[in-house]
Amino acid sequence: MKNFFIVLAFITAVGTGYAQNIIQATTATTVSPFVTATRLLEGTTAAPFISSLATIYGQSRGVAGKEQLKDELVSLNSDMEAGIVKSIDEVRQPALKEFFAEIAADEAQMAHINAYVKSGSELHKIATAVTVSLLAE
Amino acid sequence: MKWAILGLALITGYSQAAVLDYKSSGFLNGEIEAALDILPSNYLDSVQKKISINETQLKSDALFVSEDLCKINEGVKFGITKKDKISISSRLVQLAETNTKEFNCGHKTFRNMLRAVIIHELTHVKDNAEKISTNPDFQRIVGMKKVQRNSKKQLMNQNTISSPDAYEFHNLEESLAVNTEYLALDPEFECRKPATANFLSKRLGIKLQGTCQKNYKVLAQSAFVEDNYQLSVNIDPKRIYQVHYLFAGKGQALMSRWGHAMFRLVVCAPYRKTVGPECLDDVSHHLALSYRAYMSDINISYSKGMFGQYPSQLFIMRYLEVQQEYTKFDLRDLYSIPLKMTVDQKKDFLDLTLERFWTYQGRYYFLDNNCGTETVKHLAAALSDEESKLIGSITPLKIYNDIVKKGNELTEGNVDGLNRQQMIANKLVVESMFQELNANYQVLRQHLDSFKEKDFKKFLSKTNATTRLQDYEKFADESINMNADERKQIVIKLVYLERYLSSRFLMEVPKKAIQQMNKDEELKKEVMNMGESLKSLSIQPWEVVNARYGVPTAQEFEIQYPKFVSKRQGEIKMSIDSQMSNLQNILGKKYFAKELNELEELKKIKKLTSELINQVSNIQ
Repeated sequence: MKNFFIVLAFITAVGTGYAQNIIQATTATTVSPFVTATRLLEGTTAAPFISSLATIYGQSRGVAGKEQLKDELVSLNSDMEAGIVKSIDEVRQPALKEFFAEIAADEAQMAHINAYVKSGSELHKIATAVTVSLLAE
Repeated sequence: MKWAILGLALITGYSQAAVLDYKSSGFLNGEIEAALDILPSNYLDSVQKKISINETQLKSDALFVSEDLCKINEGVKFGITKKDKISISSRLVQLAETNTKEFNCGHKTFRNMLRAVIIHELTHVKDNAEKISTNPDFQRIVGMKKVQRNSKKQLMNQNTISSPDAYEFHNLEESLAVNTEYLALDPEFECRKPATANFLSKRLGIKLQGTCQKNYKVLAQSAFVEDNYQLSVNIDPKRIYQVHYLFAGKGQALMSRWGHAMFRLVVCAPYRKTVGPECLDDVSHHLALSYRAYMSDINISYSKGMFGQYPSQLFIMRYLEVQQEYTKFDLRDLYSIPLKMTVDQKKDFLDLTLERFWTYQGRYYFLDNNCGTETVKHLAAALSDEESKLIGSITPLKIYNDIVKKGNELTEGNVDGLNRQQMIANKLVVESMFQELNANYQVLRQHLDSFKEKDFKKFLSKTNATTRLQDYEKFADESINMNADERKQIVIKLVYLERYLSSRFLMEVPKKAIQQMNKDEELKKEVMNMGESLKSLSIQPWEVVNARYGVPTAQEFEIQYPKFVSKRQGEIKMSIDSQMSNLQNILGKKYFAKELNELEELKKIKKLTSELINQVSNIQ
């Protein structure tokens, strides 16, 4: 719930419809609702081991960076399902590709993931861990 | 001593260049010679006149009572130039000779101040002959609304907090003279105002000393208080692969029909040893530079935006945040066009970025000093004169057209003439998320009863969480025996769409609070309190790190910034707690019964979808 206030306060600051148009169209402000709204519904539990992925890598990306990762998961899953993508190098979603490469280079995180996601390629394991970590958090 | 010869030359009638006559007290003579020694020997070559420098009791000397350099009364003048005659305040000369204290402001000592005044006034003389202050690049760097011929025009930048001397904002002539003082006398000036220093050094022939270490760190700002100023990023030109023109295509709102103009810095991830095309993959490290109106006031008005009553500032944000803002919530395409820049141009661009971020606060005018004009000025200051002339437009879309035009050769690679699919394939455009949302919706329609509307936009206008929750519960039960891969795909699409739907809903609630607040005083009070609480978190870069002036030095940054981050986290938590209390009061009002119910249903959906994700991921 904690981010909802930002949304409200932002719109409050905007005032009239005209002013809102200016902001959205040309300059905006330092305070915007956008992605924060999606975090209102926090509080459900994810697999605790994988939550650490979001903590370690997600925090440095900020709120919006994490949202971008979540948004890209849907098309990645379609790509994997269709057999278009089989390795991290082939991932077409830029934020996820970078994220996966970071995780793959981190031996401790990979050991953690391997302990829970027993089968599949490196990409499959990381994608599964990230999916649970981000979408179920 | 070289200038003394010029002084002597007066007597002999030599008149090839400026001839200085400074037959004043011995002390002032010595200081004039010391100041002249700092300047290039040809500094006044263009001035074909005799110039006299005299110690004079100026009218404002009556106000000049303080012996504290940092507490000089407003209105005190240290020197005046009228045509060929420079008058130096005798009070200043006296203090420069007798008061040797060091102060923590300006030029630090009265003696240095005296030298600065001499350089300042001589620069006016030079400017009168050469019209340097009306140079287009100088005007773009120091912050004029438009490039113009009137050197008496006030600067738009009026950010006195980050200035070495607010007199620089008086007009272009004073801006030139004040900045030249500091370039000549302060070894840190070239690090604190790097763009101004580079320009003046080249134009005036005053060599940069190279003794200070430039601090290339900037702070990532964010729409989200948790992220705002919590990340510092190094924009050393050696770590930047490319600069892109970042253009958000036109939106549906009337005022967004011209799009939004920005830049993207392709910052290489810190772990990379080389800087090259591979840095294009480091998207979480990329930054967006965006000129916007700074609004922290609760009483914001359209007319203020029209008439320059909001500050125009350069905001630096994570690129991915900007991508989300435009492609997801505005459903607009985002164009990222690599600009062709030489190594020196890239350095000039980044020096100006630094200077703008830490010191600039112009005025935002919706029609003629907006994101488009500010972006063009920023870019033009780095490009050659010929290249700058190629970007004559002021609206973001037309700027885009100027930049990509084939003959202009302003881009890396040819962009002109590429169709949309080619641009997407070449990563020159990030598409609006609408198509993807719609595609996922169309798949889900086959599995969910309430997703019957063929038109996604119509569905968006009708759907509610209660109905969807029923659908999802039914799907969860009935899909147990479904093919595991198919079920997984559906669940992931469902979660994707649901995240979008819930955020859309949540964005509408505040609008309703605004609409209702004038009908209910208590509601208005709660809304206003929340706005005020948020305002208290609003902060400027120069308040995060308080530099002596300009760009903070590495030392100033490293001491102050970690303290800010640690203090800020506590403030954010306190503010959130207070605002949550306001929010609960707002949602408790009768006007929000429907929204409150929707919210409860959304929480149930979130719980259910999380369980589904865990199921389909097959985690042991």
